[in-house]
Amino acid sequence: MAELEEAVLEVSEPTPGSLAVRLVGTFDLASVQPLAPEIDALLGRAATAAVVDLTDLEFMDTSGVAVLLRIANRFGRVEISGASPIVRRSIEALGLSERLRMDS
Amino acid sequence: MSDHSAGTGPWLRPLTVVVAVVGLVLTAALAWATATVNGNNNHRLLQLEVRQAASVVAVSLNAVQSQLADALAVETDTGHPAAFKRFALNKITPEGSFVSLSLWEKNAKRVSLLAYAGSKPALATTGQAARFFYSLQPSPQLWVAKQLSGVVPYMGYAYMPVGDKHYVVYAESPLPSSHKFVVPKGSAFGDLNFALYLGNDQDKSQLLEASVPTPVVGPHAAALSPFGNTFITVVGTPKTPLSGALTEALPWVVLGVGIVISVVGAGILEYILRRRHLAENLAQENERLYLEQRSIAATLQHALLPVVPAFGALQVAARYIPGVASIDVGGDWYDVIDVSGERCFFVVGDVSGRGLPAATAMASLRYATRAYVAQGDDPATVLNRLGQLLDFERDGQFATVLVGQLDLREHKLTVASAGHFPPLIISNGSIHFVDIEVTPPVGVNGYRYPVARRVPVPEAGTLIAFTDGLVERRGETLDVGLDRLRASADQRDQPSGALDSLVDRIVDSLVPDGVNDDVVILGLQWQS
Repeated sequence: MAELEEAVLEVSEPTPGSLAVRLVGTFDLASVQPLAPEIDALLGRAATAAVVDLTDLEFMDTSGVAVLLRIANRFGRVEISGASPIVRRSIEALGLSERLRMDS
Repeated sequence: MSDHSAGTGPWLRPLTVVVAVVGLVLTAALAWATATVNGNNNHRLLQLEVRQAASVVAVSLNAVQSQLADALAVETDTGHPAAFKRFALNKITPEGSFVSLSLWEKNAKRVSLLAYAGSKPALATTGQAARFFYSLQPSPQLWVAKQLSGVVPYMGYAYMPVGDKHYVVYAESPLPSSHKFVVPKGSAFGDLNFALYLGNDQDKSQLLEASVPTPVVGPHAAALSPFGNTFITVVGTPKTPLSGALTEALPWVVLGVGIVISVVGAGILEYILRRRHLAENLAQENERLYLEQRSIAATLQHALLPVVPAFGALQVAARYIPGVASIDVGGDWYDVIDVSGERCFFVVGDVSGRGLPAATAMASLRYATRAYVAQGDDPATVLNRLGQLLDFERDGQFATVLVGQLDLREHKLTVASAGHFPPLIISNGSIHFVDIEVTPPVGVNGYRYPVARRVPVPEAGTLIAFTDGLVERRGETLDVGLDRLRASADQRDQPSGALDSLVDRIVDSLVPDGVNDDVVILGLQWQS
């Protein structure tokens, strides 16, 4: 059986209407599924902007990118920061680097 | 269901039986030891008490002797039988030891009764006096006469000290007619019953008196006490256990508690063993169900995927390897569509997520692609149209799709990618990924229109298209995986390798033990 890697989603609202979201660990098919309630809760929040911090995100596959995409679609202005080369390459390979614009 | 009945029948497991038997044997041994120690202690206590009782008997005879000596002294001092009688009368009391105290004179010719107090000596009335007194020798000890049978059994004590010439003092005390007596409850030996025998053994005919039926059965102890010119054998038997009721009950308590502990312990062990057996069965069953489910998923997946034969100058090899992490069907697919003898379309795609939604989305995309190709759409248009079928915002799914059109007459490849890896082209001496522009996946619409790239292909070559499961690994960038694929596909050292063996080699080298994600790999090979 495959080893289980943990995915952690941290959400705060440092300024009203603007969320700070942190993705920590591994976001893949296996680890994202148990996180569904938290992701739904995040997407249900009333905010117009979000900053997504990927500093501690070690790995993401298409399921992880899908989470990022849902966050980007839900909140109008989204900044993505701290993506490691591994994560950055995964987003690029999907042709999504324009859609999910990352700080360099 | 698998065989659940093995070992869960009514019979106990061997380990349980062993534990129970060992527990019971230990219990029995402990109870036996306790009982033995207890019995030994009781017997020792009994011996001690009986010896003490025997010494009391001896001491009581000393008291008798001193009284007889006093009486004799009175006679010797005064020389008058009347003085003796006065003295003796004082000794005959209801509380005293004797019913009769008498003074006898013994000489060579005759034995005569000089005086007596109390009742007349039974010895005189039975006519045995002469025989008794002639057997009597001067002695510092008392001489014991006895009449143990008859209507009035009695004990007689004669005293004739050494040096005395002819006087003998004789006392008689009765024995209970049935030889029964009761040991007073409060007395020092109140917790014992006794049987007293004259002589040094337990001769039935020599029984003096007993507070229990004789011969004594059950636990008993005997002690010998000097008694004048003979002995008394004191036999004692406890009325109740000398060491107390609790001590007596201890072996039974040990036995009872031990049996309870053994049985309960064995029961608990049996319960645990059965639970473990159940858990093991359950784990086996789960494993079996998991494998079965995976096999169902793989079967379903294969049913959804086409069997692509070779056509024209084109060899086709395709593999689908289900991921080990999931038992669901996946969204990976491939397809090869023959357009004319020398033109074909190939498709490799991957719908995000897993399970039935991914599989159904995959199926609809696959058949829609066939329809678009049939109506003559080019790869970029196909991808654009697929975007109308899937909407990430609506469906929560997107699909990475690679569509290529291979023209073997013109040796051109037209290929477009919506979020998918470019294909690998292997030709004589060259191995490279096609340089294409990757637009967002199908379903992530409205940002970029898909872009097709038209590149020349060698006259003889191999094309490998694949899904991310083949190259994506944790802890490394995709480029590392892509390089690994390129290295494993390099067949310069075995240039004539068939397509099937090349594809198998890539799978064996990149997916040796299976990976979490599904893997699709499609190989196309053509000769000029």
